[in-house]
Amino acid sequence: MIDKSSTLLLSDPPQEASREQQAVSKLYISQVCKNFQLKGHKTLCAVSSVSFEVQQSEICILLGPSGCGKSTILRMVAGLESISAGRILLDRQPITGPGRDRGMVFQSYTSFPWLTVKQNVEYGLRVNGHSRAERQDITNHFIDRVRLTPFKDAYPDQLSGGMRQRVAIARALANGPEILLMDEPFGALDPETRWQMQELLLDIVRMENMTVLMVTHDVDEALFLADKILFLSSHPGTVRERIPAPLQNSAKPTTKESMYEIPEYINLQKKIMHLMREVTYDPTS
Amino acid sequence: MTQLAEPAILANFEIKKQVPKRVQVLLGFASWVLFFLGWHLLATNSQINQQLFPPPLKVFTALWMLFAEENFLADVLQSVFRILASYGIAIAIALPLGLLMGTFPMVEAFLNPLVSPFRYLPAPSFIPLLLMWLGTGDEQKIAFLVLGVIWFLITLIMDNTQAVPMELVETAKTLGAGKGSILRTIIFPAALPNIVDTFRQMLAVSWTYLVIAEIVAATNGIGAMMMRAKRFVHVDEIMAGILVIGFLGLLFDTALRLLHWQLFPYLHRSQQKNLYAY
Ligand SMILES: Nc1ncnc2c1ncn2[C@@H]1O[C@H](COP(=O)(O)OP(=O)(O)OP(=O)(O)O)[C@@H](O)[C@H]1O
Ligand SMILES: [Mg+2]
Repeated sequence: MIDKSSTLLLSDPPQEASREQQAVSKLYISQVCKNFQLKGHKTLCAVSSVSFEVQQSEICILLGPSGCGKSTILRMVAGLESISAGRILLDRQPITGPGRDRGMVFQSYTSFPWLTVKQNVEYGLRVNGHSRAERQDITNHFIDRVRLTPFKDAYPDQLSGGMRQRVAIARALANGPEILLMDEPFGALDPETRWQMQELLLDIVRMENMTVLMVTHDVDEALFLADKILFLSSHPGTVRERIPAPLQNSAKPTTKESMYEIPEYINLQKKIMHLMREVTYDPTS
Repeated sequence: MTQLAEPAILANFEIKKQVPKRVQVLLGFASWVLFFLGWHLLATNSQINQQLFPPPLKVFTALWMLFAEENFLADVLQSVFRILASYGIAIAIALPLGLLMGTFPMVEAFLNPLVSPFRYLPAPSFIPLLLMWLGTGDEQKIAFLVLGVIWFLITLIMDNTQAVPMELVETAKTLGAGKGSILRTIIFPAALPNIVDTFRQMLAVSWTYLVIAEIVAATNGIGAMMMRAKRFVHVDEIMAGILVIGFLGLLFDTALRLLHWQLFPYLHRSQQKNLYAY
Protein backbone atom coordinates (compact mmCIF):
# COMPACT_ATOMS: atom_id res chain seq x y z
CA MET A 1 0.00 0.00 0.00
CA ILE A 2 1.18 3.50 -0.74
CA ASP A 3 1.92 5.49 2.33
CA LYS A 4 0.50 8.93 1.43
CA SER A 5 2.21 10.80 4.24
CA SER A 6 5.70 9.69 3.32
CA THR A 7 5.42 10.99 -0.21
CA LEU A 8 5.11 14.48 1.21
CA LEU A 9 8.49 14.15 2.85
CA LEU A 10 10.24 13.41 -0.41
CA SER A 11 12.95 15.94 -1.09
CA ASP A 12 12.37 15.72 -4.81
CA PRO A 13 8.76 14.78 -5.60
CA PRO A 14 8.28 13.21 -9.00
CA GLN A 15 6.75 15.64 -11.45
CA GLU A 16 3.18 15.05 -12.47
CA ALA A 17 4.18 15.53 -16.09
CA SER A 18 5.16 11.89 -15.94
CA ARG A 19 3.20 10.87 -19.03
CA GLU A 20 5.95 12.35 -21.17
CA GLN A 21 8.64 10.88 -18.96
CA GLN A 22 7.07 7.48 -19.30
CA ALA A 23 7.03 7.81 -23.03
CA VAL A 24 10.74 8.49 -23.37
CA SER A 25 12.32 6.70 -20.42
CA LYS A 26 13.83 3.29 -20.90
CA LEU A 27 13.14 2.41 -17.29
CA TYR A 28 10.47 4.29 -15.40
CA ILE A 29 10.11 3.80 -11.65
CA SER A 30 7.34 5.59 -9.83
CA GLN A 31 6.51 5.68 -6.12
CA VAL A 32 7.85 2.19 -5.59
CA CYS A 33 7.69 0.68 -2.09
CA LYS A 34 8.80 -2.64 -0.72
CA ASN A 35 7.58 -4.05 2.56
CA PHE A 36 9.06 -7.28 3.86
CA GLN A 37 6.90 -9.46 6.06
CA LEU A 38 8.91 -10.26 9.17
CA LYS A 39 8.25 -12.80 11.89
CA GLY A 40 5.53 -11.91 14.37
CA HIS A 41 3.26 -9.94 11.98
CA LYS A 42 5.79 -7.13 11.72
CA THR A 43 6.59 -5.51 8.42
CA LEU A 44 9.83 -3.87 7.41
CA CYS A 45 9.60 -0.97 4.99
CA ALA A 46 12.84 -1.48 3.06
CA VAL A 47 12.07 0.87 0.17
CA SER A 48 9.68 3.78 0.36
CA SER A 49 8.35 5.89 -2.50
CA VAL A 50 11.32 5.63 -4.77
CA SER A 51 10.93 7.31 -8.15
CA PHE A 52 13.49 7.72 -10.91
CA GLU A 53 14.02 7.14 -14.60
CA VAL A 54 16.83 5.70 -16.63
CA GLN A 55 17.19 6.77 -20.25
CA GLN A 56 18.30 4.65 -23.19
CA SER A 57 22.10 4.09 -23.12
CA GLU A 58 22.41 5.75 -19.74
CA ILE A 59 24.45 4.33 -16.87
CA CYS A 60 22.56 4.95 -13.66
CA ILE A 61 24.24 4.11 -10.37
CA LEU A 62 22.53 3.49 -7.05
CA LEU A 63 24.79 4.53 -4.21
CA GLY A 64 24.12 4.59 -0.51
CA PRO A 65 24.86 3.11 2.89
CA SER A 66 24.46 -0.57 3.64
CA GLY A 67 20.87 -1.67 4.06
CA CYS A 68 19.29 1.30 2.27
CA GLY A 69 17.48 -0.98 -0.17
CA LYS A 70 19.73 -0.81 -3.24
CA SER A 71 19.64 -4.54 -3.87
CA THR A 72 15.92 -4.62 -3.20
CA ILE A 73 15.26 -1.97 -5.86
CA LEU A 74 17.41 -3.85 -8.35
CA ARG A 75 15.70 -7.14 -7.57
CA MET A 76 12.29 -5.55 -8.06
CA VAL A 77 13.38 -4.31 -11.48
CA ALA A 78 14.70 -7.79 -12.26
CA GLY A 79 11.34 -9.25 -11.25
CA LEU A 80 12.93 -11.39 -8.53
CA GLU A 81 11.06 -9.52 -5.82
CA SER A 82 7.44 -8.38 -5.89
CA ILE A 83 6.56 -4.69 -5.71
CA SER A 84 4.51 -3.67 -2.64
CA ALA A 85 3.32 -0.42 -4.22
CA GLY A 86 4.10 1.79 -7.17
CA ARG A 87 5.00 1.04 -10.75
CA ILE A 88 8.05 -0.10 -12.66
CA LEU A 89 7.88 0.17 -16.46
CA LEU A 90 10.49 -1.02 -18.91
CA ASP A 91 9.82 0.35 -22.38
CA ARG A 92 6.39 1.34 -21.05
CA GLN A 93 5.56 -2.25 -20.12
CA PRO A 94 4.94 -3.10 -16.46
CA ILE A 95 7.27 -5.70 -14.99
CA THR A 96 5.54 -8.91 -13.93
CA GLY A 97 8.43 -11.28 -13.27
CA PRO A 98 11.97 -12.13 -14.32
CA GLY A 99 12.61 -12.08 -18.05
CA ARG A 100 15.37 -12.05 -20.60
CA ASP A 101 14.84 -8.33 -21.32
CA ARG A 102 16.60 -7.60 -18.01
CA GLY A 103 20.02 -9.22 -17.60
CA MET A 104 21.38 -9.48 -14.09
CA VAL A 105 24.93 -9.75 -12.73
CA PHE A 106 25.32 -10.60 -9.05
CA GLN A 107 28.19 -9.88 -6.69
CA SER A 108 28.79 -13.56 -6.00
CA TYR A 109 30.23 -15.70 -8.77
CA THR A 110 27.30 -17.24 -10.57
CA SER A 111 29.01 -18.93 -13.52
CA PHE A 112 27.62 -22.43 -13.82
CA PRO A 113 30.65 -24.52 -12.80
CA TRP A 114 29.71 -27.57 -14.89
CA LEU A 115 29.70 -25.54 -18.12
CA THR A 116 32.63 -24.07 -20.04
CA VAL A 117 32.95 -20.32 -20.57
CA LYS A 118 31.37 -20.73 -24.01
CA GLN A 119 28.49 -22.85 -22.71
CA ASN A 120 27.89 -20.36 -19.90
CA VAL A 121 27.67 -17.42 -22.29
CA GLU A 122 25.46 -19.48 -24.58
CA TYR A 123 23.07 -20.54 -21.81
CA GLY A 124 20.41 -17.86 -22.26
CA LEU A 125 20.28 -18.32 -26.02
CA ARG A 126 20.00 -22.07 -25.58
CA VAL A 127 17.07 -22.02 -23.15
CA ASN A 128 15.36 -19.48 -25.38
CA GLY A 129 15.60 -21.82 -28.36
CA HIS A 130 17.98 -20.00 -30.68
CA SER A 131 19.50 -21.91 -33.56
CA ARG A 132 23.00 -23.28 -33.24
CA ALA A 133 24.48 -20.97 -35.87
CA GLU A 134 22.96 -17.90 -34.27
CA ARG A 135 24.21 -18.96 -30.84
CA GLN A 136 27.69 -19.51 -32.18
CA ASP A 137 27.96 -16.01 -33.67
CA ILE A 138 26.53 -14.13 -30.69
CA THR A 139 28.51 -16.15 -28.15
CA ASN A 140 31.80 -15.61 -29.95
CA HIS A 141 31.11 -11.91 -30.27
CA PHE A 142 30.55 -11.39 -26.55
CA ILE A 143 33.36 -13.67 -25.42
CA ASP A 144 35.58 -11.55 -27.61
CA ARG A 145 34.12 -8.36 -26.12
CA VAL A 146 35.11 -9.42 -22.60
CA ARG A 147 38.46 -10.64 -23.96
CA LEU A 148 38.05 -14.26 -22.98
CA THR A 149 38.48 -15.85 -26.41
CA PRO A 150 41.62 -17.80 -25.39
CA PHE A 151 39.66 -19.23 -22.46
CA LYS A 152 36.38 -20.09 -24.08
CA ASP A 153 36.79 -23.81 -23.40
CA ALA A 154 38.00 -23.35 -19.82
CA TYR A 155 35.77 -24.03 -16.83
CA PRO A 156 34.93 -21.27 -14.31
CA ASP A 157 37.01 -22.87 -11.55
CA GLN A 158 40.08 -22.35 -13.75
CA LEU A 159 39.42 -18.61 -13.98
CA SER A 160 40.19 -15.70 -11.68
CA GLY A 161 37.40 -13.73 -9.99
CA GLY A 162 37.58 -10.93 -12.53
CA MET A 163 37.35 -13.37 -15.40
CA ARG A 164 34.32 -15.04 -13.84
CA GLN A 165 32.55 -11.70 -13.60
CA ARG A 166 33.39 -11.07 -17.24
CA VAL A 167 31.75 -14.40 -18.06
CA ALA A 168 28.67 -13.25 -16.12
CA ILE A 169 28.60 -9.95 -18.02
CA ALA A 170 29.02 -11.65 -21.39
CA ARG A 171 26.32 -14.16 -20.48
CA ALA A 172 23.89 -11.40 -19.58
CA LEU A 173 24.68 -9.35 -22.72
CA ALA A 174 24.59 -12.31 -25.12
CA ASN A 175 20.94 -12.77 -24.26
CA GLY A 176 20.15 -9.37 -25.79
CA PRO A 177 18.65 -7.59 -22.77
CA GLU A 178 17.13 -4.11 -22.90
CA ILE A 179 18.85 -3.19 -19.65
CA LEU A 180 21.76 -4.60 -17.67
CA LEU A 181 21.25 -4.82 -13.91
CA MET A 182 24.33 -5.21 -11.75
CA ASP A 183 24.50 -5.60 -7.98
CA GLU A 184 28.02 -4.74 -6.80
CA PRO A 185 29.48 -6.82 -9.62
CA PHE A 186 33.08 -5.98 -8.71
CA GLY A 187 32.59 -5.96 -4.94
CA ALA A 188 34.57 -9.15 -4.42
CA LEU A 189 37.53 -8.18 -6.61
CA ASP A 190 40.87 -6.73 -5.63
CA PRO A 191 41.46 -3.01 -6.40
CA GLU A 192 43.54 -3.34 -9.60
CA THR A 193 41.17 -5.87 -11.09
CA ARG A 194 38.27 -3.59 -10.22
CA TRP A 195 39.84 -0.77 -12.18
CA GLN A 196 40.40 -2.85 -15.24
CA MET A 197 36.89 -4.25 -15.02
CA GLN A 198 35.37 -0.78 -14.74
CA GLU A 199 37.20 0.42 -17.83
CA LEU A 200 36.27 -2.71 -19.70
CA LEU A 201 32.63 -2.40 -18.68
CA LEU A 202 32.44 1.24 -19.76
CA ASP A 203 33.92 0.29 -23.10
CA ILE A 204 31.52 -2.61 -23.70
CA VAL A 205 28.44 -0.74 -22.58
CA ARG A 206 29.25 2.12 -24.95
CA MET A 207 29.91 -0.23 -27.85
CA GLU A 208 26.70 -2.15 -27.29
CA ASN A 209 24.62 0.95 -26.52
CA MET A 210 23.47 -0.73 -23.34
CA THR A 211 21.36 0.83 -20.61
CA VAL A 212 22.71 0.03 -17.15
CA LEU A 213 21.34 0.18 -13.63
CA MET A 214 24.08 -0.68 -11.19
CA VAL A 215 24.50 -0.82 -7.43
CA THR A 216 27.81 -0.06 -5.78
CA HIS A 217 29.36 0.91 -2.47
CA ASP A 218 32.40 2.37 -4.11
CA VAL A 219 32.29 6.16 -4.65
CA ASP A 220 35.11 6.13 -7.22
CA GLU A 221 33.41 3.41 -9.18
CA ALA A 222 30.18 5.40 -9.19
CA LEU A 223 31.94 8.57 -10.36
CA PHE A 224 33.81 6.80 -13.10
CA LEU A 225 30.92 4.84 -14.56
CA ALA A 226 27.84 6.96 -13.94
CA ASP A 227 25.92 9.27 -16.19
CA LYS A 228 23.65 9.73 -13.21
CA ILE A 229 24.04 8.84 -9.55
CA LEU A 230 21.08 8.28 -7.25
CA PHE A 231 22.11 8.65 -3.65
CA LEU A 232 19.84 6.75 -1.28
CA SER A 233 19.36 7.06 2.44
CA SER A 234 18.09 4.33 4.70
CA HIS A 235 15.28 3.58 7.16
CA PRO A 236 13.31 3.58 4.99
CA GLY A 237 15.21 3.55 1.71
CA THR A 238 14.46 6.66 -0.33
CA VAL A 239 16.23 8.70 -2.98
CA ARG A 240 18.11 11.35 -1.08
CA GLU A 241 19.80 13.10 -3.97
CA ARG A 242 19.94 12.87 -7.77
CA ILE A 243 23.39 13.74 -9.01
CA PRO A 244 24.12 14.09 -12.72
CA ALA A 245 27.71 13.28 -13.64
CA PRO A 246 29.87 16.30 -14.53
CA LEU A 247 30.40 14.89 -18.02
CA GLN A 248 28.00 12.76 -20.01
CA ASN A 249 28.30 9.89 -22.47
CA SER A 250 31.24 10.16 -24.87
CA ALA A 251 32.65 13.22 -23.08
CA LYS A 252 33.29 11.10 -20.00
CA PRO A 253 36.87 10.20 -19.12
CA THR A 254 37.74 6.68 -20.26
CA THR A 255 40.48 5.96 -17.74
CA LYS A 256 40.58 6.49 -14.02
CA GLU A 257 43.69 8.66 -14.11
CA SER A 258 42.10 11.10 -16.53
CA MET A 259 39.03 11.33 -14.32
CA TYR A 260 41.05 12.68 -11.42
CA GLU A 261 42.43 15.46 -13.59
CA ILE A 262 38.98 17.00 -13.87
CA PRO A 263 38.17 19.32 -10.93
CA GLU A 264 34.41 18.73 -11.15
CA TYR A 265 34.97 15.06 -10.39
CA ILE A 266 37.10 15.85 -7.37
CA ASN A 267 34.45 18.22 -6.06
CA LEU A 268 31.70 15.70 -6.62
CA GLN A 269 33.74 13.06 -4.86
CA LYS A 270 33.97 15.33 -1.81
CA LYS A 271 30.27 16.05 -1.94
CA ILE A 272 29.39 12.37 -2.02
CA MET A 273 31.79 11.64 0.82
CA HIS A 274 29.97 14.25 2.88
CA LEU A 275 26.62 12.74 2.00
CA MET A 276 27.92 9.32 3.01
CA ARG A 277 28.94 10.63 6.39
CA GLU A 278 25.58 12.31 6.89
CA VAL A 279 23.48 9.26 6.15
CA THR A 280 25.67 6.73 7.90
CA TYR A 281 24.19 5.93 11.24
CA ASP A 282 26.59 6.87 14.01
CA PRO A 283 25.78 5.17 17.33
CA THR A 284 27.99 7.57 19.33
CA SER A 285 26.08 10.72 18.37
CA MET B 1 60.75 -22.19 35.55
CA THR B 2 62.58 -24.61 33.33
CA GLN B 3 61.12 -25.64 30.01
CA LEU B 4 61.17 -29.41 29.56
CA ALA B 5 62.67 -30.45 26.23
CA GLU B 6 60.10 -31.99 23.87
CA PRO B 7 60.81 -35.71 23.32
CA ALA B 8 62.17 -36.23 19.80
CA ILE B 9 59.29 -38.51 18.75
CA LEU B 10 56.70 -35.81 19.49
CA ALA B 11 58.41 -33.43 17.08
CA ASN B 12 56.77 -35.40 14.24
CA PHE B 13 53.27 -34.64 15.48
CA GLU B 14 52.49 -31.22 14.08
CA ILE B 15 48.98 -29.89 14.41
CA LYS B 16 47.21 -29.98 11.02
CA LYS B 17 50.45 -30.26 9.11
CA GLN B 18 50.35 -32.25 5.86
CA VAL B 19 52.25 -35.54 5.97
CA PRO B 20 54.26 -36.49 2.83
CA LYS B 21 52.45 -38.96 0.55
CA ARG B 22 55.14 -41.63 1.03
CA VAL B 23 54.88 -41.49 4.81
CA GLN B 24 51.09 -41.60 4.53
CA VAL B 25 51.15 -44.82 2.50
CA LEU B 26 53.72 -46.33 4.82
CA LEU B 27 51.68 -45.50 7.94
CA GLY B 28 48.46 -46.86 6.41
CA PHE B 29 50.23 -50.07 5.48
CA ALA B 30 51.81 -50.35 8.93
CA SER B 31 48.44 -50.17 10.65
CA TRP B 32 47.23 -53.19 8.64
CA VAL B 33 50.39 -55.16 9.30
CA LEU B 34 50.04 -54.45 13.03
CA PHE B 35 46.37 -55.44 12.90
CA PHE B 36 47.10 -58.85 11.35
CA LEU B 37 50.10 -59.38 13.58
CA GLY B 38 48.04 -58.62 16.70
CA TRP B 39 45.28 -60.89 15.49
CA HIS B 40 47.77 -63.69 14.80
CA LEU B 41 49.44 -63.36 18.19
CA LEU B 42 46.11 -63.29 19.99
CA ALA B 43 44.74 -66.32 18.11
CA THR B 44 47.87 -68.45 18.59
CA ASN B 45 47.93 -67.72 22.31
CA SER B 46 47.47 -71.01 24.20
CA GLN B 47 44.57 -69.60 26.24
CA ILE B 48 42.45 -69.09 23.10
CA ASN B 49 40.23 -71.69 21.48
CA GLN B 50 41.44 -71.65 17.89
CA GLN B 51 38.21 -73.11 16.57
CA LEU B 52 36.28 -70.07 17.84
CA PHE B 53 39.02 -67.52 17.04
CA PRO B 54 41.17 -68.74 14.14
CA PRO B 55 44.35 -66.90 13.14
CA PRO B 56 44.38 -64.84 9.89
CA LEU B 57 46.21 -67.47 7.86
CA LYS B 58 43.49 -70.02 8.58
CA VAL B 59 40.83 -67.50 7.52
CA PHE B 60 42.57 -66.81 4.23
CA THR B 61 42.89 -70.54 3.59
CA ALA B 62 39.19 -70.96 4.27
CA LEU B 63 38.47 -68.10 1.86
CA TRP B 64 40.52 -69.81 -0.84
CA MET B 65 38.75 -73.14 -0.23
CA LEU B 66 35.34 -71.46 -0.38
CA PHE B 67 36.04 -70.10 -3.86
CA ALA B 68 37.83 -73.21 -5.07
CA GLU B 69 35.51 -75.92 -3.78
CA GLU B 70 32.20 -74.50 -2.54
CA ASN B 71 31.31 -72.27 -5.52
CA PHE B 72 31.35 -69.24 -3.25
CA LEU B 73 31.56 -66.98 -6.31
CA ALA B 74 27.88 -67.73 -7.07
CA ASP B 75 26.97 -66.56 -3.56
CA VAL B 76 29.00 -63.40 -3.95
CA LEU B 77 27.45 -62.60 -7.33
CA GLN B 78 23.99 -63.26 -5.90
CA SER B 79 24.65 -60.74 -3.12
CA VAL B 80 26.04 -58.17 -5.55
CA PHE B 81 22.99 -58.64 -7.75
CA ARG B 82 20.67 -58.01 -4.78
CA ILE B 83 22.56 -54.86 -3.85
CA LEU B 84 22.59 -53.47 -7.37
CA ALA B 85 18.96 -54.32 -8.14
CA SER B 86 17.66 -52.90 -4.87
CA TYR B 87 19.81 -49.79 -5.08
CA GLY B 88 18.75 -49.19 -8.67
CA ILE B 89 15.09 -49.38 -7.68
CA ALA B 90 15.64 -47.15 -4.66
CA ILE B 91 17.40 -44.51 -6.79
CA ALA B 92 14.75 -44.64 -9.50
CA ILE B 93 12.13 -43.72 -6.91
CA ALA B 94 14.16 -41.46 -4.62
CA LEU B 95 15.86 -39.29 -7.23
CA PRO B 96 12.76 -37.76 -8.84
CA LEU B 97 11.01 -37.44 -5.49
CA GLY B 98 14.00 -35.86 -3.76
CA LEU B 99 14.58 -33.44 -6.63
CA LEU B 100 10.94 -32.37 -6.71
CA MET B 101 10.77 -32.01 -2.92
CA GLY B 102 13.97 -29.97 -2.85
CA THR B 103 12.84 -27.73 -5.69
CA PHE B 104 9.20 -27.11 -4.88
CA PRO B 105 8.41 -26.35 -1.21
CA MET B 106 4.81 -27.27 -2.06
CA VAL B 107 5.86 -30.87 -2.81
CA GLU B 108 8.08 -30.91 0.27
CA ALA B 109 5.22 -29.75 2.49
CA PHE B 110 3.08 -32.59 1.14
CA LEU B 111 5.57 -35.47 1.19
CA ASN B 112 8.16 -34.70 3.86
CA PRO B 113 5.86 -35.28 6.86
CA LEU B 114 5.14 -38.72 5.39
CA VAL B 115 8.65 -39.72 4.31
CA SER B 116 10.63 -38.31 7.21
CA PRO B 117 9.17 -40.49 10.02
CA PHE B 118 9.72 -43.64 7.95
CA ARG B 119 13.46 -43.19 8.45
CA TYR B 120 12.95 -44.00 12.11
CA LEU B 121 11.06 -47.24 11.53
CA PRO B 122 13.71 -49.98 11.67
CA ALA B 123 13.72 -51.74 8.31
CA PRO B 124 14.34 -55.21 9.85
CA SER B 125 11.00 -54.96 11.62
CA PHE B 126 9.36 -55.22 8.18
CA ILE B 127 10.98 -58.60 7.49
CA PRO B 128 8.13 -60.72 8.92
CA LEU B 129 5.64 -58.78 6.79
CA LEU B 130 7.75 -59.05 3.68
CA LEU B 131 8.20 -62.79 4.25
CA MET B 132 4.42 -63.23 4.35
CA TRP B 133 3.77 -61.01 1.35
CA LEU B 134 6.65 -61.92 -0.93
CA GLY B 135 7.94 -65.31 0.27
CA THR B 136 11.60 -66.07 0.76
CA GLY B 137 12.94 -65.37 -2.73
CA ASP B 138 14.87 -62.47 -4.22
CA GLU B 139 11.75 -60.29 -4.29
CA GLN B 140 11.61 -60.26 -0.51
CA LYS B 141 15.36 -59.62 -0.13
CA ILE B 142 15.33 -56.78 -2.66
CA ALA B 143 12.18 -55.22 -1.21
CA PHE B 144 13.80 -55.25 2.22
CA LEU B 145 16.99 -53.63 0.93
CA VAL B 146 14.94 -50.95 -0.87
CA LEU B 147 13.04 -50.23 2.35
CA GLY B 148 16.31 -49.97 4.24
CA VAL B 149 17.69 -47.05 2.23
CA ILE B 150 14.93 -45.33 0.33
CA TRP B 151 13.70 -42.99 3.07
CA PHE B 152 17.21 -41.76 3.75
CA LEU B 153 17.89 -41.38 0.05
CA ILE B 154 14.78 -39.28 -0.49
CA THR B 155 15.48 -36.89 2.36
CA LEU B 156 19.20 -36.60 1.62
CA ILE B 157 18.59 -35.92 -2.09
CA MET B 158 16.04 -33.31 -1.01
CA ASP B 159 18.71 -31.69 1.18
CA ASN B 160 21.27 -31.81 -1.63
CA THR B 161 18.76 -30.13 -3.94
CA GLN B 162 17.87 -27.43 -1.44
CA ALA B 163 21.55 -26.61 -1.02
CA VAL B 164 21.80 -25.37 -4.62
CA PRO B 165 22.65 -21.64 -4.34
CA MET B 166 19.64 -19.42 -4.99
CA GLU B 167 21.79 -17.08 -7.12
CA LEU B 168 22.25 -19.78 -9.74
CA VAL B 169 18.50 -20.23 -9.99
CA GLU B 170 17.88 -16.48 -10.06
CA THR B 171 20.53 -15.99 -12.73
CA ALA B 172 18.79 -18.58 -14.87
CA LYS B 173 15.44 -16.85 -14.29
CA THR B 174 16.80 -13.50 -15.46
CA LEU B 175 18.17 -15.25 -18.54
CA GLY B 176 14.65 -16.27 -19.40
CA ALA B 177 14.70 -19.93 -18.33
CA GLY B 178 11.33 -21.48 -17.42
CA LYS B 179 10.65 -23.80 -14.48
CA GLY B 180 11.29 -26.99 -16.43
CA SER B 181 14.51 -25.62 -17.90
CA ILE B 182 15.74 -24.51 -14.49
CA LEU B 183 15.06 -27.92 -12.98
CA ARG B 184 16.78 -29.75 -15.84
CA THR B 185 19.66 -27.41 -16.64
CA ILE B 186 20.45 -25.78 -13.29
CA ILE B 187 19.12 -27.56 -10.23
CA PHE B 188 19.86 -31.09 -11.38
CA PRO B 189 23.46 -30.53 -12.56
CA ALA B 190 24.19 -28.26 -9.59
CA ALA B 191 22.93 -30.82 -7.05
CA LEU B 192 24.30 -33.91 -8.81
CA PRO B 193 27.81 -33.92 -7.29
CA ASN B 194 26.39 -34.03 -3.77
CA ILE B 195 23.75 -36.54 -4.83
CA VAL B 196 26.43 -38.90 -6.12
CA ASP B 197 28.18 -38.53 -2.76
CA THR B 198 24.91 -39.38 -1.05
CA PHE B 199 24.63 -42.51 -3.23
CA ARG B 200 28.11 -43.54 -2.14
CA GLN B 201 27.45 -43.04 1.55
CA MET B 202 24.06 -44.76 1.56
CA LEU B 203 25.46 -47.74 -0.36
CA ALA B 204 27.39 -48.59 2.81
CA VAL B 205 24.05 -48.85 4.62
CA SER B 206 22.78 -51.20 1.92
CA TRP B 207 25.72 -53.55 2.50
CA THR B 208 24.93 -53.54 6.21
CA TYR B 209 21.35 -54.55 5.55
CA LEU B 210 22.43 -57.20 3.05
CA VAL B 211 23.73 -59.46 5.80
CA ILE B 212 20.47 -59.12 7.71
CA ALA B 213 18.50 -59.90 4.55
CA GLU B 214 20.54 -63.02 3.88
CA ILE B 215 20.62 -64.30 7.42
CA VAL B 216 16.84 -64.69 7.50
CA ALA B 217 15.36 -67.42 5.34
CA ALA B 218 18.01 -67.40 2.62
CA THR B 219 19.60 -70.27 0.73
CA ASN B 220 22.21 -68.33 -1.18
CA GLY B 221 24.29 -65.19 -0.90
CA ILE B 222 27.22 -64.27 1.32
CA GLY B 223 25.07 -63.99 4.47
CA ALA B 224 23.47 -67.40 3.85
CA MET B 225 26.90 -68.99 3.51
CA MET B 226 27.87 -67.47 6.85
CA MET B 227 24.75 -68.91 8.50
CA ARG B 228 25.52 -72.34 7.06
CA ALA B 229 29.08 -72.09 8.38
CA LYS B 230 27.75 -71.19 11.81
CA ARG B 231 25.80 -74.42 12.00
CA PHE B 232 29.07 -76.36 11.65
CA VAL B 233 31.07 -73.89 13.78
CA HIS B 234 33.26 -72.99 10.81
CA VAL B 235 34.35 -69.69 12.30
CA ASP B 236 37.09 -69.29 9.69
CA GLU B 237 34.44 -69.28 6.94
CA ILE B 238 32.32 -66.72 8.79
CA MET B 239 35.34 -64.46 9.08
CA ALA B 240 36.13 -65.00 5.41
CA GLY B 241 32.58 -63.85 4.63
CA ILE B 242 33.07 -60.70 6.69
CA LEU B 243 36.32 -59.99 4.84
CA VAL B 244 34.59 -60.37 1.47
CA ILE B 245 31.76 -58.01 2.43
CA GLY B 246 34.27 -55.46 3.69
CA PHE B 247 36.27 -55.77 0.50
CA LEU B 248 33.21 -55.42 -1.75
CA GLY B 249 31.98 -52.39 0.21
CA LEU B 250 35.34 -50.73 -0.22
CA LEU B 251 35.38 -51.63 -3.92
CA PHE B 252 31.97 -50.03 -4.54
CA ASP B 253 32.95 -46.98 -2.50
CA THR B 254 36.14 -46.52 -4.50
CA ALA B 255 34.28 -47.00 -7.78
CA LEU B 256 31.83 -44.24 -6.87
CA ARG B 257 34.66 -41.99 -5.76
CA LEU B 258 36.37 -42.48 -9.12
CA LEU B 259 33.06 -41.82 -10.87
CA HIS B 260 32.80 -38.55 -8.93
CA TRP B 261 36.24 -37.48 -10.17
CA GLN B 262 35.31 -38.51 -13.68
CA LEU B 263 31.95 -36.73 -13.76
CA PHE B 264 32.86 -33.58 -11.84
CA PRO B 265 36.50 -32.73 -12.56
CA TYR B 266 35.74 -29.07 -11.84
CA LEU B 267 35.29 -29.91 -8.15
CA HIS B 268 38.62 -31.67 -7.83
CA ARG B 269 41.14 -29.21 -9.19
CA SER B 270 40.56 -26.17 -6.98
CA GLN B 271 44.11 -26.51 -5.64
CA GLN B 272 45.48 -25.98 -9.11
CA LYS B 273 46.76 -22.59 -10.17
CA ASN B 274 44.44 -20.37 -12.17
CA LEU B 275 45.13 -20.26 -15.87
CA TYR B 276 45.46 -16.53 -15.85
CA ALA B 277 45.04 -13.72 -13.39
CA TYR B 278 42.91 -10.57 -13.89
N1 LIG C 1 14.11 -11.13 1.99
C1 LIG C 1 14.13 -10.19 2.96
N2 LIG C 1 13.36 -10.34 4.07
C2 LIG C 1 13.38 -9.40 5.03
N3 LIG C 1 14.11 -8.29 4.99
C3 LIG C 1 14.90 -8.08 3.93
C4 LIG C 1 14.95 -9.03 2.86
N4 LIG C 1 15.83 -8.58 1.93
C5 LIG C 1 16.29 -7.41 2.40
N5 LIG C 1 15.73 -7.10 3.59
C6 LIG C 1 15.98 -5.89 4.37
O1 LIG C 1 15.72 -4.77 3.56
C7 LIG C 1 16.66 -3.76 3.79
C8 LIG C 1 17.34 -3.39 2.49
O2 LIG C 1 18.12 -4.48 2.06
P1 LIG C 1 19.01 -4.44 0.76
O3 LIG C 1 19.67 -5.76 0.65
O4 LIG C 1 18.19 -3.99 -0.39
O5 LIG C 1 20.09 -3.31 1.13
P2 LIG C 1 21.37 -2.86 0.32
O6 LIG C 1 21.25 -1.41 0.14
O7 LIG C 1 21.51 -3.68 -0.91
O8 LIG C 1 22.50 -3.19 1.35
P3 LIG C 1 24.01 -3.64 1.05
O9 LIG C 1 24.71 -2.40 0.63
O10 LIG C 1 24.50 -4.11 2.38
O11 LIG C 1 23.97 -4.68 0.01
C9 LIG C 1 17.63 -4.28 4.83
O12 LIG C 1 17.25 -3.74 6.08
C10 LIG C 1 17.43 -5.77 4.80
O13 LIG C 1 17.64 -6.32 6.06
MG1 LIG D 1 22.96 -5.18 -1.54
